[in-house]
Amino acid sequence: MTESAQHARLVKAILSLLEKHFGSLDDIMVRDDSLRPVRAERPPKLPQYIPDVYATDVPTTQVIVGEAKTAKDLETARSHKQIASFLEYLAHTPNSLLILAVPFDCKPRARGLLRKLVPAHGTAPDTKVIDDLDLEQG
Amino acid sequence: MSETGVSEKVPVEQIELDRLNPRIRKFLEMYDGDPTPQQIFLALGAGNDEESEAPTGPTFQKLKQSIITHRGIIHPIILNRQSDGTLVCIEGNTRLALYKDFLKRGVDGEWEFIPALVHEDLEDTEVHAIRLQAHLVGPRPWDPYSKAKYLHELRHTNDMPFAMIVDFCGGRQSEVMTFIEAYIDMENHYRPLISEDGAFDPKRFSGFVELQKPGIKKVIAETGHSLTDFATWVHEDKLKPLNTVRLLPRILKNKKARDVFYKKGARAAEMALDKPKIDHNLQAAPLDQLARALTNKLDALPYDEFKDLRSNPGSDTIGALLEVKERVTEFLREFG
Repeated sequence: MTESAQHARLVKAILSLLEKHFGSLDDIMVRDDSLRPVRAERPPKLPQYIPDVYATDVPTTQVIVGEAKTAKDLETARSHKQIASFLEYLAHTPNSLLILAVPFDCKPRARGLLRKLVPAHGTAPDTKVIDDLDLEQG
Repeated sequence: MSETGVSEKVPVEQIELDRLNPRIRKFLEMYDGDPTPQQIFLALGAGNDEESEAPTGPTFQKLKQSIITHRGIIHPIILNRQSDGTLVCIEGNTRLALYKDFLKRGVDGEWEFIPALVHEDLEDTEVHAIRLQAHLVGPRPWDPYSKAKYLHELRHTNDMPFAMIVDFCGGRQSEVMTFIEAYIDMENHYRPLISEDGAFDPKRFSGFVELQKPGIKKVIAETGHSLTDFATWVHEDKLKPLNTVRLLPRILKNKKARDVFYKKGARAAEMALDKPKIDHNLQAAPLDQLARALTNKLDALPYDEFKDLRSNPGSDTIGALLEVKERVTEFLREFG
């Protein structure tokens, strides 16, 4: 599978989890940066980087940011800065969640990374690491 | 002739777009010869799937999405059956063009017939009267507060799915979201401050829309304030005009400006902010050169910089451009 195809699959896994979490994507605001977005609107910049998925219920009681990383992506310094930036943003957003979607064999590494990148200020947001196999398990 | 026309469902293929429609005419003046239906189509912006940055773009896209979601139009178009039997659309050309486009492209839905009010052989003056009423007077749009109240009711009271509300409005989901959130903030924090029923001022809603912009609520919380403080500032005219809400992050983070703000409001506090140093040569340049230089700069802006600015509407650059826009608009009013 190519890098971009895998990335697309990981974004799909995030959207699938959101659907399960909220019951229906129709009931939430969802902005995703994928090839065929749910609705034609890209996620906002938070504040330096644009995540793959940004979702809130309506009216907002929870903010969820989703980021997909392939194995190669997960190790770059830029990705680490990006994830740290999302965690920092969410630390100042009550009841927030960061979903990190990675290939199955990268899950331990991703969990370790999230532990390492705990934001210095605010309340550490909830985090969840998922993989694209979750899609197949429904 | 019936004064209001006869209500009919008319086959779209039998109707001609109006070449005298001002938008079509403006476009056709650029071309010689007899315009093709495709050119008329282009003039109306139909057939364009991209979200355009042109002034008519988003409105056209909203209309298009709304018609698809609603599976038809709400207000009938107006037709004139001329003495030779030709049916000409005198009001509703964009809607007609969209029906024709949907039909041609096989968009799911019934687009063969369009609801219309058909007039018989109208005089030119009567046609002009209809065009004027439709385009220069037009229906009065709801004020933003009423729109937001209605959107909130649909979502909160009627439990309508958010995606459906967005589709019916034909707009962007973040706009709908901003309106709903602004309405909730205004009701929760501004309304309780108003003791007399009549004193609630829906025009102040735009301040609560500004409040939803990135970073504003965060800085209010970080500097030890609450949304009730914000509503009090709105109520006490400390944030007047209401677009000065966007100055709040800079004001609240600056002690001197903050103290002025508490006493005299945002406009006065703005003067106390550290002004960025401006190059001496720029400062000395004549107004026309500065204006042309700004135009050239905007025209030649690299796409990456444009994308950065678009994703960061709270940036100093956008703030400065908005300020220029306001000052220039205000200034030019003096010249008619």
